[in-house]
Amino acid sequence: MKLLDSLRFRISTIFSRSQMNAQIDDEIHSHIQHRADDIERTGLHRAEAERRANLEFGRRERFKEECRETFSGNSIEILTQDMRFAVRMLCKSPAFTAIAVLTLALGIGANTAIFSIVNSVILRPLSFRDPGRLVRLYMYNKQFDNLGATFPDLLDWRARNRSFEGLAATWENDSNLFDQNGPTKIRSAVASANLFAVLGVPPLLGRAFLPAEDRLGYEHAVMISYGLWQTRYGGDSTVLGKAITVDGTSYAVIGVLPRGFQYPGKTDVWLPMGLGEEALIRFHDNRRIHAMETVGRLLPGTTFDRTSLDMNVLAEQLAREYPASNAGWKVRLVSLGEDTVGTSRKGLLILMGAAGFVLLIACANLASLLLVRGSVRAKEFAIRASLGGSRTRLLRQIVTESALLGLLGGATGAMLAYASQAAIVAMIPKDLPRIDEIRLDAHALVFAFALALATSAVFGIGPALQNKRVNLQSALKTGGWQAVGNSNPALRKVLVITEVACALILVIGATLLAESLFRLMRVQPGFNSLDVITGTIGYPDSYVTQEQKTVFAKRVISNLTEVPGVRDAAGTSLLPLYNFKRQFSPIQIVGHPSDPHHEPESEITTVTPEFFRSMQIPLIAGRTFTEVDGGLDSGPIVVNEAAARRFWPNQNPLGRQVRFEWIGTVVREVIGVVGDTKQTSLATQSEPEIYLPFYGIASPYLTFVVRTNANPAAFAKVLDDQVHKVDGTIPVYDVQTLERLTAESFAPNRFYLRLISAFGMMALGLAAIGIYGLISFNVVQRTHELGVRLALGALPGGLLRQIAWEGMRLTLVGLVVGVACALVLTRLISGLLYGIAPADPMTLIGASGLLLLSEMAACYIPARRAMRVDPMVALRYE
Amino acid sequence: MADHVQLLPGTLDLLILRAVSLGPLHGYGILLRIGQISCNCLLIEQGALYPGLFRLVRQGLLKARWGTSENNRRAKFYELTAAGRKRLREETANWNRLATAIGAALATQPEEA
Repeated sequence: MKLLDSLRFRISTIFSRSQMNAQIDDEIHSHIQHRADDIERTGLHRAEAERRANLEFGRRERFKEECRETFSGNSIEILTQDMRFAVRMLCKSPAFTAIAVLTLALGIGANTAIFSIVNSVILRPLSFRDPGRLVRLYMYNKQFDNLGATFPDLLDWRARNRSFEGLAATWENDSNLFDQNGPTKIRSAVASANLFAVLGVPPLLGRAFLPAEDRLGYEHAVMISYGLWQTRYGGDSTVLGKAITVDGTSYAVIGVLPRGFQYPGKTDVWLPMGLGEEALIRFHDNRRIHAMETVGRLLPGTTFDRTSLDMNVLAEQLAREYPASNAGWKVRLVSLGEDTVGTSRKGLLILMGAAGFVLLIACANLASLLLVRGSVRAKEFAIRASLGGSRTRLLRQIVTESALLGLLGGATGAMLAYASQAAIVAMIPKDLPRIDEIRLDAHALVFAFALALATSAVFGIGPALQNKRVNLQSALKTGGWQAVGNSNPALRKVLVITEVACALILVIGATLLAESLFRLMRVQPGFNSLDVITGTIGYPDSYVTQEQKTVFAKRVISNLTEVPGVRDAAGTSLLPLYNFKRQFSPIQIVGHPSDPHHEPESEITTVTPEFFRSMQIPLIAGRTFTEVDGGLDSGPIVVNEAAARRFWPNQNPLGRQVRFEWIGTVVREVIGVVGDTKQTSLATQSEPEIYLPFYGIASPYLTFVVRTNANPAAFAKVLDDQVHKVDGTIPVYDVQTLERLTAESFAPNRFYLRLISAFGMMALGLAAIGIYGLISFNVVQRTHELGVRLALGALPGGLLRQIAWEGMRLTLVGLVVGVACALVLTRLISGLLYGIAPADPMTLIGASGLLLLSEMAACYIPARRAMRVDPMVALRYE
Repeated sequence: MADHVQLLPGTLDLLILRAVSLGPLHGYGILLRIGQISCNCLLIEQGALYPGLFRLVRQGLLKARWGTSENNRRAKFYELTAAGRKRLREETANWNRLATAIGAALATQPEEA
């Protein structure tokens, strides 16, 4: 009952404010009348009695305010009141509000944009059941790292481990899909039947693989992704049972996976382990082919470390049982989350840090702005305090205003982040995982909101403290500007120094990244990427013999050569700089003693005879292939200079012999040496590479290289047409110019450079605004003094230097602090740098110079204004 | 006014409760009553009474209604609620204990004179 009364009371107070005010007035009036009655009785006139009664009553407004506070007493009302007032104050100075909100929006927007990436890629749990218990298992020895398991190892692990609920394996491929809609290139994965149970994701439609489908020769069944189902089969449930052709083999669709299911990678189609490639059949009893990418679910109660120990004990057992194949091999466990994010984590955290600096500068700027504003408003606060506004109430007012600014900035920032997201996502290098999951979700909005409140607390605290010290009397006595005297100059100086230091760190980071990128772009890839278009096909299973593959390749290449505008056409198993997991294969150099611990290895690429000419890779010695070179059992090889140096140092490599274990046992002779090309990236040294003739040793994939006279992009259609003229079922994918492919290899560098330099620019601008604000405020504050000095004959130039020097002194201190911090922090980005040291002195000097110039400009403008002060005006100023 | 004693913080509420416990009073009446029962030696700023009254109403210790005073003026009369009466008993007991304790403490003679 009491609660209800109290509630009704509270509600009534909100809605009948004016009524309450009238009641208080009535009551006070009544009091004064009663008192006046008493005074009147002592013999005074009524008027005089009332005057005295009024006086005796005391500070009427203040008591009224206190009454209202006690009985309204509710924070909602005070808040709405404060809010209304805050809005009015902000509207009254639109320039201040705009600068403050924009400053904050930049800081919060940058952070929210990066956070939404970090959240989507790193923080948001993978969309599997209890993903924390999922681990990837890798095999490694002294020579190889991060390899999958062999099929027999997988079976032994499954049978003997004590830590896993289940172990599932996959094997990824690029595949050709052919159905009633024609050919297309897809990602396929051969998957063990238990994959979906281990990941804890049941199919959306139909069924998962049966255990029997792990065994060889089982019925041809296939599961498809939600994306493929939607785009290719219209999301129609009749897709179940439909026949589709993957790499020339026909399968029946048995299940559709739910939306967002991604494992391994961006797979479109899952094939049962019992089938797949003919090569897979060989895996079933081969302990040397590490093809099984293995994922396991830990049993409840087991720990990561114990499982790791357990698995390595098992690895040692297997090494004893199969010393020939398993000796020296160990098992490494990586949590699936970490495995998915991989090396991107560090880069993203660096971006988050950079965005953090922008926010820090924004906060410092705003705190500085508010300090100035607070001192300008000292008089207003003094008046309110003397009219009965309590200190807490004024403090609340200041906090409300900061919070309102923070929220406005946060909302604008979130909008900025939303608006820029598409552009940022488009820049993200393709190897970043979970890109398509990136979105500005509720988490990111909560983050922006929290950031807004936290920053408003940070920048609001200065003015709030400052207000505590305001001396009412002096504030009221003096005009607005002098009250400013206590605007806490030391704090403002620290803020400016912080801004300069943070901005310098970002500018140095951006400069280092820019120089790295320029150096990378100047790196010679070893071939001429101009005017070349490329496109890749995968041979369907229907191409069984070398003869078939060769005929297809030869016909496409000769057709292409006849197209007007085409200068040269060729084929290769793998283009340099192509984003594909490169593998080194063990080889034996004939005439060298074999050393099992240091088996020589090389990249092996098959190419058609026209390849070196088409790519314009220079021939150093000997000759390249002809149409007749080739065959599984015979044929010559061409090596690059790195291979020649590594395998035959200071010798003539021509005529030397190499034995390959995996393609026949034939010994092949070196007939030529060609220039090095960059392989994995422009930043890495070229590794030994051995070229084999494509004809006769065709790979499952073939990339066509077409050198045109000009405008290679226009030949995309030509390439597609010429392939389909020979075989209409084979899709051509990754059609792109060689120039673009080369540029892809520095996409990560460009991504980080663009974002960090964007942050650097923001920082530079904000820091300039910060120092501009400080100096122009000082100038305005000292107008009177400057006027007097000019009137007494001070030289304008001297005043200018003196005023500008105040700003430059702070800048210099900031630069020193910034360089010191940068020396530590730039080491974090050393992984993103190429050809330049993190502490490159020229960069440090250059970036400091840039900052010095921009700050100098920011100091000069207000200082110049000071010089133009008209003494007469200045003296009359007050 | 110099011989008047400044109120200890928090004691105004107790005085109001005590004043009103003898019968319903309006604000000015409460002030007079406090003067009367405290031999006029407490200094209370007149206006300061009202925030106190509002606070006590808000806490449910007093209830108020408008009426007509002995001077034939409209005035708001305050009286104790049951909770107010209970609070007055408790606070009085507390105050007496405190006063006794402090009085005793101040009455002790220094040991080494």
